[in-house]
Amino acid sequence: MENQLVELCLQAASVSRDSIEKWRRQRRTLERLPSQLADSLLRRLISRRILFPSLLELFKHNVEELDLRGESSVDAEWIAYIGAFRYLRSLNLSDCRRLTTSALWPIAGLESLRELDLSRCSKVTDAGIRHLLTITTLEKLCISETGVSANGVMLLSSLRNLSVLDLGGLPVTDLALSSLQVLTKLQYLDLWGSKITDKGAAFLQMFPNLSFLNLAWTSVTKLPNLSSLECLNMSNCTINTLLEGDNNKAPLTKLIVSGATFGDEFEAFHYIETTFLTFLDVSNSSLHRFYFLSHLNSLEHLDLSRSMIGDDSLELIACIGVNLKYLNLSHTRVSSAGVKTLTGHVPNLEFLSVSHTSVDDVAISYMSMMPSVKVIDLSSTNIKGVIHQVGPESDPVLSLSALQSLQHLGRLNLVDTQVTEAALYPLENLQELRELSIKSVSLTDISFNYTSSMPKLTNLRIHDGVLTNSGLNSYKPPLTLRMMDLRGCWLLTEDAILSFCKTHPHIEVRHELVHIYPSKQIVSNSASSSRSTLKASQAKQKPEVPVLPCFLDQRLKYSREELLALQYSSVSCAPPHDRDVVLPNTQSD
Amino acid sequence: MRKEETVKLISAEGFEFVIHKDAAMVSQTIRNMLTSPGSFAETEHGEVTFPEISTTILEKICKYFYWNLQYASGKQTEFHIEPELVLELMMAANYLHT
Amino acid sequence: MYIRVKRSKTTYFIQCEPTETSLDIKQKLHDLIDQPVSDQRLILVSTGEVLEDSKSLADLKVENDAVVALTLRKG
Repeated sequence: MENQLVELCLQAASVSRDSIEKWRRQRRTLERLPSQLADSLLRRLISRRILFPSLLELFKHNVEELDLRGESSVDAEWIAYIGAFRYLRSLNLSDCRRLTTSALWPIAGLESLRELDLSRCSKVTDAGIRHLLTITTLEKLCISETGVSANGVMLLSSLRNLSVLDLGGLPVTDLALSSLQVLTKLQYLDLWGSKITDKGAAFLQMFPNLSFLNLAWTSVTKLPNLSSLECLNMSNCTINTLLEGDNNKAPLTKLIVSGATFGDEFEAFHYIETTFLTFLDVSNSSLHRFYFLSHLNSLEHLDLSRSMIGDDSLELIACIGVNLKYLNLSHTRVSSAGVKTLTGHVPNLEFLSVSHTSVDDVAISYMSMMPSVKVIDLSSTNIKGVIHQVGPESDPVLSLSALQSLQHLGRLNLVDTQVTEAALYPLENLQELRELSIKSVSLTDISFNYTSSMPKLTNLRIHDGVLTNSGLNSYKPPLTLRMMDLRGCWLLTEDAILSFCKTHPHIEVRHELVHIYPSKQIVSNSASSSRSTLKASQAKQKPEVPVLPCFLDQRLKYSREELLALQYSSVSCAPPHDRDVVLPNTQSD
Repeated sequence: MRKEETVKLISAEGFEFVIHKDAAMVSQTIRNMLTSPGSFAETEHGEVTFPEISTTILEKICKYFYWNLQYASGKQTEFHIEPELVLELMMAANYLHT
Repeated sequence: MYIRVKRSKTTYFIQCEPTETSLDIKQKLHDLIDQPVSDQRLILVSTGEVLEDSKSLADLKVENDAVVALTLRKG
């Protein structure tokens, strides 16, 4: 375990408010704290929900990255302290619902700030944007779903260093967009749900470095060629032409047009450079001819769910299947015959969903010939698990046994199929299976037994089965099992489930009657510790905080006396500077 | 335990801690010092001086090394850290990659 | 377990078992500091008790992480 002692220290520092009191007066030590440790400590205090505004003051000398997303308590007082974080480079305040425009003004003094996220702070309006205009160093700004209007967006033209701008859900007009043309460093522009029309879309050619563009839910129908565009989202638009133009075709790698209505498929896809396209999402779109697929030789991810595709068009996918890793055919007219078309043509396919189709047991034998498959979703299909042979004397064949040839199969979904318990028997031999989901009223205690011998199973879902208390009691789960979801198994009682949990404390059990998390391990928060490890490695490049000779407080430009008063009054409440606790020396001679 | 199997860690105040090499190697930083001969003068004498680490913290670090070895061998006890020490200890642990 | 043997500005972390005797500890110290066992005197700091050679650490109530002071007979 890397840096386990650092992790133990972070835990010890954030046990309770009392433990904070023990170290918060060590001012000099706090000032020396490397920024990645300060960031981790602050993040830990936030996740433990024991951070209070005046504590922020301790971190003003070293924190470079502050993520307060979703903290409902963040208000003007918090921001007043954050305004003194002189080395702050990245500030995430998304979903801080209490934040108002006036609370934002101290941010104007953050000279080192590069990234600011105010997404979904609905009380932030155009006046809030004015506070940001002094931070000319800003490179990334996210203000999606705030109260900012088109006029507020126009103000952003003075932030010339912006390369990432998220304006999703804002009423950005063509006029407002045209005023942003001076932002020539823009690489990422999100305009979903805006009032941009074809006229505004024409201005997009003025951004020479634009590589990501989101125009979902707009009335743009014609998008001109954008010479550096790599990723385009036009889902839920009515599309006539995409990237029309002859010179320097966009090197598109990712295209999302889910829910889009197409005027003419031929026109829509005609101009796209297909050489680099690896990701295509046409789910839920109005497409009904799919000939364009035959040119997409680099495709790795293809989502056709809820589209009009049928068995006859799967031949097109077979032709370009060599690189395909992800294929979603759920909610389509595809049947087992279509799956047959794919066999032998998708050597790299890892994910296959035919959920909510008429696919039946025959398809399983075709899937068993797709050697790389890791995930199969067969939910809500006609799978029965049994194929009845023609002829009076032949025994029924268990169709799931074909899956045994798939060396990498890790996830299998059989929810809402007609699979009977007897047909599950071949699953016993799936050596790589990590997740299994079944939902059927015909399942009894025997279904438990099939899972006992699966060496890698971590997640097991058995819904709506007639499992009994004694079945649960005698169940020997595989050692790897971490989560068991038994919702809808109505015969089980609370006592029986609790007793199972006691015997198997490392397994999280879900049921309507109880929801039990596994007992805490020594490193309980693996997600956040891995994040801090990542950060630590990034921070190695610049271990020391630069020391500025003097710090010019930008807030002096403002005449918000009441807020200044607020800030200084809270500073005076804080403990005096430079009073390190003298530690007793435990050395004995 | 032979003398060659130990290392001496010296604190900012000049206090010395003699510990087993296996324990010291719990620190990636010390491991690098001890296993890349020639690159650190310390390796020759089996001594490493930490002018930035106080005696109290260095002793705590040594205790952690031994706790870590025990923990790794299956003896799972809690390693108590006094809240007063967390900041200094965290910095030292960060430096020592442990 | 381990105990911490302290003398002047030096602390020796000594790995040991509760069944080992005080003399066993002195033998380990001999390997490290080259002083004959007979010249060593060990005192459990928490109680001030001088550790008898023949008794086991368990009997002497010397537990994991205990601090033991080492003095040497002048010779």
